[in-house]
Amino acid sequence: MAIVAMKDVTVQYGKNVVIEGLSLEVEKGENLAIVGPSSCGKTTLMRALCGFIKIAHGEISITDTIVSSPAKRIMVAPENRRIGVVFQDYAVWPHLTVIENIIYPLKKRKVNKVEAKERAYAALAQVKMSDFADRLPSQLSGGQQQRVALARALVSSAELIVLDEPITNLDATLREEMAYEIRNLQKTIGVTVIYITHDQETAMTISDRMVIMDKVGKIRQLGTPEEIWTHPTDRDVYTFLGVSNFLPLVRDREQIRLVSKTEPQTIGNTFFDIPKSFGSNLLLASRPMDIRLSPLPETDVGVVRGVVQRVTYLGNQFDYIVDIGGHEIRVQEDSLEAFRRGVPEEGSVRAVEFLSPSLYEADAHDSRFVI
Amino acid sequence: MKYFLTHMFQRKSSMGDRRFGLDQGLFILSLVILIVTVLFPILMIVIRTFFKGTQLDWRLFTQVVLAPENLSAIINTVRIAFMVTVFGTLLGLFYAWLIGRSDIPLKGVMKALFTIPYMFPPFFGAMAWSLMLAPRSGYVNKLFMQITGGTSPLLNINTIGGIVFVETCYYFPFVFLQVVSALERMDPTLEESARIAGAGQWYVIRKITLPLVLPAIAAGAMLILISSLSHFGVPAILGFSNNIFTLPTKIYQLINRSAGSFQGIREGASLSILLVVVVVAALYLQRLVLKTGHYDIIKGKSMRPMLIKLRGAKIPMLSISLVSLFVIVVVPLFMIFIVGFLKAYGLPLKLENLTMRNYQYILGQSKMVQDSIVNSLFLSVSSGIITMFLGVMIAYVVIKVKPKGKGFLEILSLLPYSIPGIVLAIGVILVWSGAFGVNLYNTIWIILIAYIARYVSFAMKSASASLEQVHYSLEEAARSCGATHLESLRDITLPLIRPGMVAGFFLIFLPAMRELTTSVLLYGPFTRTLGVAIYAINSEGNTVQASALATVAIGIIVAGNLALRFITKERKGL
Repeated sequence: MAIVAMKDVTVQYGKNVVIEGLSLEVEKGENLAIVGPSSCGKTTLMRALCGFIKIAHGEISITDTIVSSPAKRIMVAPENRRIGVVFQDYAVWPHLTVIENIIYPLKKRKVNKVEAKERAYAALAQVKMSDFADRLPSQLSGGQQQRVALARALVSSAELIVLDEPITNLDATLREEMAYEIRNLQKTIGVTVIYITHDQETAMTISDRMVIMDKVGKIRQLGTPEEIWTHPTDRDVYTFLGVSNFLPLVRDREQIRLVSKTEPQTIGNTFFDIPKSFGSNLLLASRPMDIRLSPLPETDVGVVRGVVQRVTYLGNQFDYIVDIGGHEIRVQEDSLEAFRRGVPEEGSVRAVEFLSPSLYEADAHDSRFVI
Repeated sequence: MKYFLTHMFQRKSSMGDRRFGLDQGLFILSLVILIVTVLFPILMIVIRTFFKGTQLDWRLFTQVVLAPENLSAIINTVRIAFMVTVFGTLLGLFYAWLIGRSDIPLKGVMKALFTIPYMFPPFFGAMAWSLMLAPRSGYVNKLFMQITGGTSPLLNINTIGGIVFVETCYYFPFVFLQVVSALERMDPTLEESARIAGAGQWYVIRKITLPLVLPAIAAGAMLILISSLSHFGVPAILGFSNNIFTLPTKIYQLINRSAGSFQGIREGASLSILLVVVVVAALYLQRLVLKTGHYDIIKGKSMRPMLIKLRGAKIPMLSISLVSLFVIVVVPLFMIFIVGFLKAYGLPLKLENLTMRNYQYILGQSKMVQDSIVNSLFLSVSSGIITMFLGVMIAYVVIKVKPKGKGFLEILSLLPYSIPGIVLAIGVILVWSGAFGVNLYNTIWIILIAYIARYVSFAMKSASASLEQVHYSLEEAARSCGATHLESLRDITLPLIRPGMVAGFFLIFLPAMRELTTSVLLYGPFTRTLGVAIYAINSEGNTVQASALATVAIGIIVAGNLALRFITKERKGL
């Protein structure tokens, strides 16, 4: 059952359309990450859901109750939507102690004092902040304030929590730890979580499903982290997920040739099942870790040759820049693996093998095809 | 206005709005209050000047403006303001540079001395200097004549030069404070890199430091100019006896002489328009100057600048500063204090001539003085509270609600800042003495209304500063926790800006406690304020009693300032 349903939602500030015709359903109990570059409308979407801004068009419902619908003249006030929110800047009230912060939503929902206190302390224990109940927020670190904000959201709603870029202000170790804890809490309590972030790595580690939004506020892809990682729908999603190499290919009847500035190369087309609709210009997309360099075999027919330009040792891995027919790509190899197989020397020619690459149709004017 | 409001609502309903109902109510309430208290008086001045009945009539205005005595008042006003601005700016710059950039010792003491002129009304200074340098009776002049055996005084304070001197003493801190804060926020590497590139000390000051702080200088100088143009107290105390008038004192005289007749008020209104025109011209000038110099290299955070060593000049510079500050700040206060204990004005300042009788009289017997203290306390406290809440409401609408038309609201609330107090007073008389069916003339309420209009800009600025610190997510967090809009304001926003509100209250309470310019036109037989009482007693020639009462006022003001300082210090804990 969908706990949140957005249908054809449009949000605009004056004439500036931020989100146009967006539809999305959030399943009960899942952890949905909404991922996209900065200022792509993620936060606007969250604010529309929470009722801080009106939508211009469409409909939003929470547990089958319509909360925003300009057509039906419905606009449920934020306080009646029962969503727990963790804001980007935590928004922990500086004039109240930690426990007062957490009791506040219960007080507003008219929970009796004894029970409110019990529940607040329980929530505090869930985020491991019991020892800090009587502190003021100014006496807490960023990570601790965030736990308080999380606890406050948890008591505010046991159904639905929205987290807006909650851990971007924390340092790397703390971020990892927090992400893990949010995941854990969500699994034990069973609350539905909408997690908004621009950091696709964290999103992958904690979400059940991910929504990838683009710069203009449109949903590009929706799926589990595995689906999205292994099959990005288009080049933009592919690029957004991490360092990526794109090599231009041309389909010539049954052969696939690499567009090369130096020598024409044909590559094995065994992996590819090229959709009929694709034109003849293609792009081969691959991640640095999914490329293997080997010594040239005896017969090099159908083997892609690359010249190793630069070798950089990063400790846990080696980072290579390899020139393939005038196109530079980045390759990474696990250090242990590299030592076992032999680290290539700069200037040496290697056979380049692409493991599970993706294939996209290229624009007609892609500069990479100009030789 | 009607179009404006309907237009606003259309936009609200057609487009995404963050808050509903309450916000619009606050917006309209702020707008209505400001229109009634600020816009109406100003409009009424224009209407009464240029319209006779419903007919446009320029005659009164041209007649008033071209009257020779009024022309000389205009010339005096501009001359005094110009000279005060030049001298005040130079003095302020000198001290600012000494404290901001040199290694002069005792900076703390000097900075503390600089805040003193800020606390007291300039007309106390005029009284004090009059005690010393009035041509025949001034103590310093008498001493001088005794020594020389002549009959000509050393200096005559009842001249344009005297007025310029006293106003300069009180207004130079405007430039000083602006420039010191700019110097403190300026990136010192800008100066250091010029030194490294081989520029000399004087060259750096001229070509680097001065241009960078130019906007601050201009802002401070304009404050001086506007304050001096609209200033009443000093020229009133020093100029009347010698028939030297400025526009504000001329307006006062016109209305006072006509004993509140309608013709007198109309003439006063005409002169007011002239004064406003002069002030607006000055403001326009400020905008031109500020536009040409905007530098982002002056940053918000303070950095440790490279201090210039005064070497041999250190001791002379220090003595000059301390002596001049002593003369400007300490001596006048001491004079008022000591004269307040004299048996009669003119007696030598000896122990046997001192008495407590003046205090006994003013605090124990004079009903008028007692009333004035009660009135001023009532007016300051009530206008402080009302205006502070009004300021919070307007600032909330402008900063958080941001409706279409917030610019208009902002301009309205900042307008009184540039309207001279005496002009505002005339406007308030025109509106609240029966023109719209409400006659508050001669009651304390008309003064209260004038104070609210006069100080709303302060309140609004102070409230804006604290509200900007409250991020909108704090309120939204409360909303999503189940609080209604009103509850989120009550539980979150108001408690967070409470220290700012208390400070804002004192920022109104203190100047209101010593207010003279507005109340001098509005007081009735039983509604004198403290400032009016001191001024009146002094004009009647009861100098010793006036000084005693001024000492009482100084006591109240100092106590208020200490309270303010204590509160702003507490605030850091938040």
